[in-house]
Parts: sequence; structure tokens; C-alpha cells
Amino acid sequence: MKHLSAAVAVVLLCSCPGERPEQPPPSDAFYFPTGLVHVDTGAGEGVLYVVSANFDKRFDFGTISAVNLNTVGLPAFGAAVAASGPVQLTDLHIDPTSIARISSFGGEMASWLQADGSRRLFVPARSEGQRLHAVDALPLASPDAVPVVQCVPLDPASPRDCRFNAPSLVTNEHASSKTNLPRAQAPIGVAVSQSTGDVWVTHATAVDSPRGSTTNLTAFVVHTQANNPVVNDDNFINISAGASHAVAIGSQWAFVSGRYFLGATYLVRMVDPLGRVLSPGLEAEFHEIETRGIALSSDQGRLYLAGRTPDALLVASVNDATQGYPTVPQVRAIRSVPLPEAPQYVVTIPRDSPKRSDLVAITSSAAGVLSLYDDDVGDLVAQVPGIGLQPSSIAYDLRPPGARLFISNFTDGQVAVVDVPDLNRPQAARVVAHLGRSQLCVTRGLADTTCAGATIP
Amino acid sequence: MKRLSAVVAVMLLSCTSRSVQPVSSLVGANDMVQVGSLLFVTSSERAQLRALDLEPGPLTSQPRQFVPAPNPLEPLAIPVLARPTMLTADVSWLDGGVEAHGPLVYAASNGGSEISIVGGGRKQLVELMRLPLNSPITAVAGFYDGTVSRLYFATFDGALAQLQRVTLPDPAQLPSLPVGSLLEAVESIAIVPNVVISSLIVLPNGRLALAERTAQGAAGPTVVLDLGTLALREMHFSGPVRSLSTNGGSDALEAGDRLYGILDAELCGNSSCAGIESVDVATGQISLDASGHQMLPINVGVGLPVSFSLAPGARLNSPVDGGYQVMPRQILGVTSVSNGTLVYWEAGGLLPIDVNPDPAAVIAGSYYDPAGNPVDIASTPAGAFFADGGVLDFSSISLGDGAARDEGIAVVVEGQIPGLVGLAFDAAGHVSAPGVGSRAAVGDAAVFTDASGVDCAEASVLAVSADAVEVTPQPCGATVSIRARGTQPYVVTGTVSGYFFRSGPGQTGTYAGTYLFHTPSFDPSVPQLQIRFGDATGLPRDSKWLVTVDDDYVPYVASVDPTAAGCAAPTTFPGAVVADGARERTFIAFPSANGIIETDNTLVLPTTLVTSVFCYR
Repeated sequence: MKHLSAAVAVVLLCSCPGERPEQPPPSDAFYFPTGLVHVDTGAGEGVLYVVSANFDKRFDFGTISAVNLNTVGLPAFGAAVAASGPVQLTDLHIDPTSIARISSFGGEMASWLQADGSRRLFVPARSEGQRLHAVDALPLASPDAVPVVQCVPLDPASPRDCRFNAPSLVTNEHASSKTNLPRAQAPIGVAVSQSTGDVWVTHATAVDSPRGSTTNLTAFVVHTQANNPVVNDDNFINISAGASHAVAIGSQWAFVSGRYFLGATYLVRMVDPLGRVLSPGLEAEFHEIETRGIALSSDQGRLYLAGRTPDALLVASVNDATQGYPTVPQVRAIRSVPLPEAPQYVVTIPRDSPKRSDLVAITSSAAGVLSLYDDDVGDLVAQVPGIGLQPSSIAYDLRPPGARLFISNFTDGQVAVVDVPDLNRPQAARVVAHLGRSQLCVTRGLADTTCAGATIP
Repeated sequence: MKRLSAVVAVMLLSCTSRSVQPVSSLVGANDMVQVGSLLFVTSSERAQLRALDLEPGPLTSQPRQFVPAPNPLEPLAIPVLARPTMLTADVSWLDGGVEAHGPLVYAASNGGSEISIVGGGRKQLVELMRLPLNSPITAVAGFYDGTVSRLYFATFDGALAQLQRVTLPDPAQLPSLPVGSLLEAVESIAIVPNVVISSLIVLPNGRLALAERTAQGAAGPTVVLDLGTLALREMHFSGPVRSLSTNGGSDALEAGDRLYGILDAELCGNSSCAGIESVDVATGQISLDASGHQMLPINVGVGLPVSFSLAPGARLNSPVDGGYQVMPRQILGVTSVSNGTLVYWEAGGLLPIDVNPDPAAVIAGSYYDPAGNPVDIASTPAGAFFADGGVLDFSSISLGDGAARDEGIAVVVEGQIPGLVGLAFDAAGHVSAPGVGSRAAVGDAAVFTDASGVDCAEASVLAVSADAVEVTPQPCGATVSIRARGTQPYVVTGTVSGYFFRSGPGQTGTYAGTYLFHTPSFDPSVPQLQIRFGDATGLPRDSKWLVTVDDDYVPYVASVDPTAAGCAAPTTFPGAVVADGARERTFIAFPSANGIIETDNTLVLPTTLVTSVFCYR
């Protein structure tokens, strides 16, 4: 019997890996898209970078795909929507050099403009290794050129396979140290300061110490530099109990939202590059269970949070956000506004009139709605239906006086394109196109109504 | 015996099945409105309204039920526009000023451009028409004159606010009426640029109240519009208002005499200025409270008022003579707060209900030597410690009840004067001190401190002005601090209030302060703090008294016990609130729990969890 077991073991060890062909995600579509970055190339529609999270792990890895929007046939900005509905643009013209391989379960994405005109993209990923991926997006040679991406650090032998050289945020997971800290389980949110190059990463799951003990739960934010995105123990800032979700950056402080933690959630905490952590105590004013998306207004005078239970946009005033320590920003409740179910991501869009406050865009993942809040009105001014299934991240392309918004739909695999012809009249916002083909026939099978004539990879 | 048990069990089961409350499955209980014995609530994510039947029942015998669907096992769903979050109903006034309702309910969605017109009577619980508009709706109000309903609504298109109205036909005719013909009947009342109309209510005698919002909510008048003459009267709230209500008739007030509003926190940038205030519609001035003076906003503590409801004559378990007694209030006010609490207040007398009958008081005090050591009474310099004829005594400190804060008060002999510490000076001895220079006096000590923080010289203050102090310059110092000296060597400060005043032996120091709330016996001539000092002199520099003040203010605040509510979801963040005086109940929509909580006003106890509750989901 022992011999038989040994033989089976040998067979398993030796034969399986070699026989299994690599299963890359589709190169011409998105798969569980999450983070988005739009880059204005100065000519035409620009380039859209999309994280595919490979959430069901049907494939071997996730990706960052670059789509040259000049080549996909987007309708003219502000054009009327045809009676047949938004344009479905399934041919994305994605070149292999436009795809970087990253870990599965990629989260939000942030970008940093480098001196040479390239963009450095950052994506935390929650699968094995819990890595912070950095990818350089090279400038376009011409408006219709293929956008090229490459890993940071660059391995010339595999310039677009970024899975293994990205820093892990859980290297202490199996360390011999007694604490197994610091570590950042389930990294999900990221933001980069264009002016200072500070990179901030949040993680969604509190970590225990020692690992597996479910005791001493705590959380961190990871702080590194965009021009040298290494991560070691010194890059972790302990924010105490309660993990976070998303981060918004001011000139002095980073503001992180707060995930539910045993009824003692911090709705927002402030962190500075020197590791100071402050709580403004917003949870005493808003008894929300947790917050997800977070955004700071252009003048740093307003903080917007996607509150859960109840689903609401929490609006807070911020005083002295532009002053460094020892001046401490005061974050105080101003109002809450009901939002469609499961608000997820918040972004502020500046308007060209100095008299107008930013327009605030919020996705609601369960409702499939994009909401627009106008602080001048003190309420929502539009709810855009038909975005898709489980909208998550938002990127935008300013087209004064309007903007074109891109929203990733996690469950249907598409990216919705929403035109707001005039940001001062946002009630005219409408879905004009969807990028990529629906993934529902893959994830739900051929029975899904979207799968007519399709085949499952 | 077994068979008997089985029979009993079957009987119990059958009884239970008859009384089972239909599960409504509300998703998005964001707003409510009461129409007679029906309480309409939004189920925003289902694009529906539900109606909770407030009859027949006493709370203790049988939970209420949502009005059932034709299949009585299911609650009735009233399909309306997508994501309704705003509800209002026709309002009317019966003889005697009793507020009543007409036949219609109106639903809108924040950010939406439609209004659902819904039948509010038990036999017509259905959407009768959906009115499409060109711009997002910001406020809705309805009026029923006994014959017809008039719908008033405000929109904002990004630049212009437009106030419009439409007279509606008989509800029975609405479903068959083409939408276009109703749109043609819409009249524009006013168009206002760069303003948002954030709240609308109809007042008796053909008047409409509008709260306007400008400057991101930091400004905006509230006005009453006479719909006949189109004359405007400004209502002088102390700040912009984001939600309006009015009073029904009562013994003391005619219906619509007052306009109540939630002040917008934008005025000061935080919740401290987001109280509820009332103005008299006839004059536009802030109403007088039971003390006979202009009311102060009813604040709700840490958090924002979400919604409030007024119930004339409603009974409440109220503090009386150190205990509690169920007694009628002139007008019971109930406010839901974003911190999860309910604040009960007297909306007739316009005062908070202070559960603690005691006035603000000094509750502790000690004297310390210059090294900070507490000094025994026995070793205290003669007359220095709370002794009659000495410097300071408990009885020589008087406090304004409603103005005094919970804080520590320090009286420091030759103390540093706040705002005049660690300042730079120029070669001529000029010290810039904008706004605080006059706190100093000629002859005060100017103490110079070197870069290492050591005091290196002392001179005198030569002259003072509102914004500067002139001192004799010294070569050693990096900064200068001013210490009180001369006839007023005592510096008095508070841990919350900051600098009060300076005073001296045989003098009385006074700080007028600001009242946070009024009591029935409020006297505006009573300052926040007044201290009469004894004649004794010669105490050493930096010796001090530290005194603890308790404001003894306990507002009537309660929270719903989430376990007693049985909502199986957090009752942490309340939404709309409806106080029903006739039923002695308060209904609170909890979007966090997707349900309505019912509380019994006669069983509520302040500062405790309310356990006598039902949850309807």
C-alpha cells in the first residue's frame, strides 16, 4: 500500500504541471473589470487602462489592458443616443503589448505622470502574494498607435508578466516572527499624489497576530514612493483596529475610509507620510456601519464618503486640510443623502467655473446606477440607470464644459461610457456606449440570454 | 393527553398563522408620510411604496400590518417611479386648524425628474399618474382645498430654480388623463436664477413657504409667498434652512402660525449650527419661547437632525419633580438624528426638555501653589481658599444656566494672558497681537524668553491697543509673554470657553458668554460666568484655583434598542420620523434596518434604550 501511495504521489507531482496548458484571460475583452485609469493623450479620445480581476479564477492571472479609445469607434462626445440604445463596442483592438499580466483579484488603479510623459499605474491585488503591482504605460507614438505597457521593475525577458516581481504586502505572513506583522491582507484601494509621488494602499481585511490566532486584530496602510515602489516593514503604518477600503489624498494628509469592524468602525482616518494617524470621530455624528469609496474636493474643503447601512453619501466639511501637522484637519458632518443600493466608488470631477463646486460621481454596485451629486444643490442631481451589472470604479475624461465617464461593470465585464455634455447641467448624463463584450455567457453559461451564438472559452 | 396536546398545538398554529404579519421586505425605507390611518413608506430599491395600517391596534395586543395585497398573504406594493426617496401628501386644514390630508400622495426621487401621483385613500392605493418634468425636482408640496388637489414643485436645471404648480383633476379621472394634457396645465409661479429651492410647504390661507439655498448652503433666505398676490415676506431664520414644517392648530396657536426649519449645517461648517428653529409667519421674526425671549435653535448634540415631526397635545413620559409622569406637551417635537438617537423637545414652548432639574453649578474646586501642588485648607495663606472674606468662594461664582459649559475654570494669579504668549517683538518693543492686545494693561509684566525656553528678563507693558502691545525691549529674549499684574492680576480661563476675563482683589469679573439653550426662567442679564473676588492680596505668581463646572443639562434623548426592535438589522441611522399624538406613538423609518420602528411615547425614558418597540419591515 505504501508503494502504491508513493507511486501515485510521484505521478501527480511529475505529470500534472507539465500537461496543463496556460490559460490566459481573453485578450480582446475584460474579465471582472475593476480599476480604471483614463489618460488624455492630447489627441482624440485618449487611452483607457482597465484592470481585469479574474475574480472566479477561471484563468491563470489578471491583467491590465490598455485600450486606445481612438480605435474602437466611440460615438462623438455629447451625441444623442440612438433609439436602439447605447453602442456596443466589442472590438477593442487590444494588442499583446498592451496587456500586462498581474495577479488575480486586482482592485482599484491609480496613475502617476512621470517626467518622460509615461504613466506609472499602481494596482493592489488580493490573490496569492497580496501584491502591489506597478506598470508603466508608455506615451503613444501617435494618436492611433498601440499603447504599450511594461512591468516595474522591468524584466527584459518578460516585460509584461508582472506577477512575480511585484512587492508582496504579506511577507510576514509566514515569517518566524511572533507577531506576523506588519502585513496588509486583501489590499484593495490605492491613490498616488501627483505632486509628491506618495503612494497609499489600503487593505480590506483586518489582520490578526499571530497569524491564525484571530486575536490582536489591527490594520495598516502601506505608504511607498511612486518612483521607487518598494515595500518593506517600514512602509506600513498601523492605523489600529478596523481595516480600510479606499484612500483620498490631500496636500498634507491621506484620508482613508473604514470597513466594518465589530461595531467600532472608523468612518475615516487621516494619515500623513510621517506615520501620524488621526481619527476625526466622524462616526460619532454618522452612525453608519462602514464606508467604501472616498473622495476629497478640489479645494480640500469637502470629503465625500460612500456609506453603507444605510446606503448614503456622507458629506463632511474639512477645515485646515492644507496645513501640515501640528495643525489637524477638522472633519465634521454636513449632510447625508440617500443613495441607490450598495454605493461603492466616489470621485470628484472639477468644473470649469470657479463658482461651482466639484460634481461628485458615485457608483452603486447592487443598483447598477451612477449617481451625480452637486454640492451647490446639496442633493443628487441625476441618477443614470443602465450602467450595467455591479458598477465599480470610475474614470473620467474632462471635455469642458462636460466630461466623458467610464465605469467598470464587475459582473457583466463591460465598461460603460457615460457622457455628461455639461457638468453644470448633469441631468443630461446618459450611457452612450459599452466597451467590451459581456462576460455573462462565460460566467453564467450558455443559458444566459446574452450568450446567443457564443462559445465558452 | 398526547392527543389533546396535538389538538392544542394545531389550534395554536392556526391562530398564529392568522396573525402572522406579512413580510413587506422594504428595501430603502428612506421617507414616510402619514395620511389618516395609513403610513406610507418608500421601498426605494423596489420602486414601490407600502402602506402601514395604523388601525386598529393597540400596540400591546397585535402588531400592525402593512395593507395587504389582493392576495392577503402578501403586503400591497404600490409601484411608483424608480428609487422614490421623497414623500409628501396633500395637506389641508379642517375647522379649528386641525391638520388633515387630501386624497393624494406624491413620490419623487432625489436627482429624478418625475413625480408619482398616488392615491392616498384605502380604496385607491395605486399610482394614478407619473408626471415627467424637464429638470431634477428639489422639493414637492401638495394642498387640498376640500375639492381639488394642487401640486407644487420646484426644479433646478443647473442655473435656474423654477417653482410650478398644477391643479389636479378628481383622482378617479387621473389614470385616464393624457400626461400631455396635465403638463399643459402646469403653471410657472416663479423662476429664480442661481438658487435652489430645497424645501416647500403649504401654509393655511393660500400661502407657500420656500427655503432657498445659495452659496453651497451657507446662505439662502426662507420666504412665504402669498399665492394670491404673489407678495413675498422673508422669514428671518438665523441661517439657511434645509427642511420646513409648520404647526397644526392648538389651544395656543392657530395652524400655520409658525414655520419650523432645520438649519443647514453649512452655515458654520459643522453640526453645532444645525438645530431646529421657529419663526412667526406673521412677523417673520424668530419666535419667542416660553421664557419670553427669542428662542435658541433646538440642538441635537453631536450629529445632524435628519427629520422632525410635531404633534400638538401629544403625551410624553416627562420629567416631573425628580420622577417621570405621562403628561401632555403643548406641541411635542421629535427629531431623528444621524447619530442614531431621537431627541424629544417642547415645540410649543420652543425649549429643550431638560431632564435634570438642577441648574449649572460648581461641583469641585481646589487651590494650588505655584509649583502645582494642591494646598491643604490648613496651610493655605489666610483667606485664600474658599473662605468667607478671602479671595474665592464657591458662593462667589455664579453661572448662567444654559450658558455655562461642562468645563474646568482656572483662576491664575499673575497668569499668562491667552493670545499674548510666546509672541515676537521688534526692536522698538512693538508686539503685534491682532484682536487680543487690549487684554493686556499698562503695567503688566512682559516676560522675555530665550530660544532655549528660559525666562531671561522681565519688563513692563508700556501701552496697549486692540491689536498690539508696546513693551520695553530686552536684548535677551526670542519671544515675549504678557502676565497680568497690577490691580487685575487674576487671569480666568475655561477649558472649553477659553479666555474669560482678568480681575483683581475686591472686584467682580464678568463674562457674558453665549447661551446654548434657554430655561423657562432665562434672564438675558445673567452672564455665563461671574466671579466676585475677595479683598485679600499678596498671593504668589502662578498660584491658582481650578474649579469644575457641571452644566447639569441632560436633554431628552433616547435610542432604540436594536435587539428589542427585532429588525434583524442595525437601527443605527434613523430617517424620517412621524409623531402621532392621537396614538401616542412615534414611527421612525430606519433605512439602515429597512424597516419602520414604532415607539410608545408614554413609555420612553430619556438617556436609555427604548425597548417598547415594534419593527415593521
